[in-house]
Amino acid sequence: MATQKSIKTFVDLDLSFKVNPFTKDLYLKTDEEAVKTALKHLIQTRNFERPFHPEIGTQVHSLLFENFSPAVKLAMERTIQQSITKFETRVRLIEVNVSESVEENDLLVNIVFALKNTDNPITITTLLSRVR
Amino acid sequence: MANYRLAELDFDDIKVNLKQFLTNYRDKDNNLIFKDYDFEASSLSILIDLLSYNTHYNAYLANMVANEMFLDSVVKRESAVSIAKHLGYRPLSYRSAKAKVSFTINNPVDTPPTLTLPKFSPFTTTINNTQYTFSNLDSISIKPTNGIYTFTDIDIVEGEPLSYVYRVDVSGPEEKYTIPNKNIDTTTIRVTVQNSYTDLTTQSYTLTDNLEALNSESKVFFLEENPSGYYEIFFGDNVLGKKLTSGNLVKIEYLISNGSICNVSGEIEQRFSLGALVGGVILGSTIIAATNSSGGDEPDTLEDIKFKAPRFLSSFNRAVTAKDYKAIIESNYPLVESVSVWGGEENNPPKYGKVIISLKPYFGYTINTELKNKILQDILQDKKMMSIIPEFVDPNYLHITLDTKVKFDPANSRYTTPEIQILAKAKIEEYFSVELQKFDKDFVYSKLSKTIDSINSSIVGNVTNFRIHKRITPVVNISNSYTGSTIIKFANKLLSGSIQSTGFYYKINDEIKAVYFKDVLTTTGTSNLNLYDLYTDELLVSSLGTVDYVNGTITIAVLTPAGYIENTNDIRFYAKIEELDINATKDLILIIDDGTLDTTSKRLAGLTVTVTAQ
Repeated sequence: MATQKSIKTFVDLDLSFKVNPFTKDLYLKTDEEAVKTALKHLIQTRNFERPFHPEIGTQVHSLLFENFSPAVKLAMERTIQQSITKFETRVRLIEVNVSESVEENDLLVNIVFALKNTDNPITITTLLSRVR
Repeated sequence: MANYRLAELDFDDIKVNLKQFLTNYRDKDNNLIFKDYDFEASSLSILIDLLSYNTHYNAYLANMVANEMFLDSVVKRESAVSIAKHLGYRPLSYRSAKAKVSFTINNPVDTPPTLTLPKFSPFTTTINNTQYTFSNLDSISIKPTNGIYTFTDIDIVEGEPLSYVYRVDVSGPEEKYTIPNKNIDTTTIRVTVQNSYTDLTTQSYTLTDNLEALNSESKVFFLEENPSGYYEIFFGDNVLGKKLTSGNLVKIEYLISNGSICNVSGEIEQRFSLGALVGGVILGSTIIAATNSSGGDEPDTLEDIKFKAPRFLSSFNRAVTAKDYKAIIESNYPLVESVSVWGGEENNPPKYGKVIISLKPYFGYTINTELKNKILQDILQDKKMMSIIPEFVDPNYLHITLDTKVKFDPANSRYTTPEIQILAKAKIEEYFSVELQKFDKDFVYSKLSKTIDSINSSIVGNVTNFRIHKRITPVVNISNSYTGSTIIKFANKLLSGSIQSTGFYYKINDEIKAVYFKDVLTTTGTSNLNLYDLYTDELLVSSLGTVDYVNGTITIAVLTPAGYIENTNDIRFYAKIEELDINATKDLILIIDDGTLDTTSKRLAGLTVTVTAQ
């Protein structure tokens, strides 16, 4: 009887570069986790940060230092939406929501998406804080 | 086996290659180990970006290093200077304009037996509303003649005098003394070495570029440009030039130049004021320059170094072949736009034992005798072969008069007819300025025609007719002869019946008439140059000259004009030639006719452009 083996659709490195104690190899991120990590990278990348490709990234960093108004919230959601639509072709974006966390002086970014060819909505929430 | 591609240098190409490499990276079941490299936000893509950037960085660095090693591809001046150093060429610095003045000092205090003009005495002059200072580089002493103290033909050089003193720490050529100003004229450097702070004995050192005849006692210094663009001097090692000793004081005096700004046309009266006491008195009046300031120039650019250095090497600083003369003059005398040199044996008639040099200045048509002598004495004298005598001849200018008819399609153009006319004129003038008007630059008709057609896509075509003309300036009321070496010589075969001159006055039977020349082919096959009435075309004098159509020459044994027609100061012989191209050899320079239309004297417009819409 043939054995069933799971084939991973997406396989990416984990930039923490931690070592798996059993295989002595680097940890990998696969499928849903790989895409989630990529989305976080995309949000946190500033335009002009990647060499020779200034178009990759968002304007989230500069907007973080604006007074948080409905217009800024809208601009932040739009830049995230545009960037994901253009550069993360593995996902079907469902919703992007930015809200403020007054107590912590932070912004919460909530992204709902589904992997293409699937219907399962996946949510990631990331916290954006002004540091410098 | 994977086919690895290594030749790409661009960031994106390198990135594609790295991704291609990852497609070969599979596990034992032939599944890709990494799959996300195609998604820009993935971690793997970030790492690939980093690797690509690093690879691109190294490729760029390697490319730049290779570029900077060769004179043809160098882009940094300091690299070009360094390569030129290996070729024995030192880039020219600013060159100060020089003038000559003569003046008399009246009643100096105590009527001394000799009167001295101190070194760096300031002579001020105003050029374009800005005051500039000239000075004499060395002190000059004179004795009175019949009680009159006259300084005659004193050379004064433009620039602000500065000096710098260094104390020698480590003796020998490894210690270099930087001159901290980029506007220096290196020909004005004067170096004296004082023994120490307490021993005031000084000795003058001179610049040398030549190692011949140097010994341990030679008081010389060497000069070179450092990577920062500053000039620096250094001394010998007791083998080639005297070595300094620790504690010596090196005093460097020089002028800071303003370059070509201080060149003044010879047609302007240039005045100087002497701002120093000479013999205890101040010269009250201004001094009119005996020779106006000229010779100022900007330093060598990167392109100049690329052009001159290999040519300088090819001559090894010796004038043996014609190319050597050309390279040496171009390297040492910046005011010459173009140089042509040929051996006397190639001359017509031959001049054995001579080398013939023709120089075209940037401004004007010829170089004056004084400058020719200066080039001969200062530049060529110690580089030429002993038995060869350089001889200068003025360039032989052949003017080209153009009449261009341009057709264009207005429906296919954003330009109007007058705009096309302006563009065509500018393009033709640019063609002459860039492609011609120098020695060895031939006139090629098809190139000119193509250049006009290329102005704009709306131009359908052009028909360009041209004549060539020679100008002569005979002295009025004196017999002038145009035979032998003064023959009027064109460059090509001439068309019979095409020769016609501009008008001038000529005395016939004690009556002064306005006349012009025209050629007539006789029944015997020879040609005569006859004189006709300028206004009635009546034949007045037959056979005043002859035309040799094959050799392209006009001979006039005796020509005694009685004057020039108003608004003219020469006689121009227009001619058409058999061929469409003109070869410029030896002293011939082809230039565009700058003449304006003057129907009274039959003078043609130098450049006529007619535009018709099709």
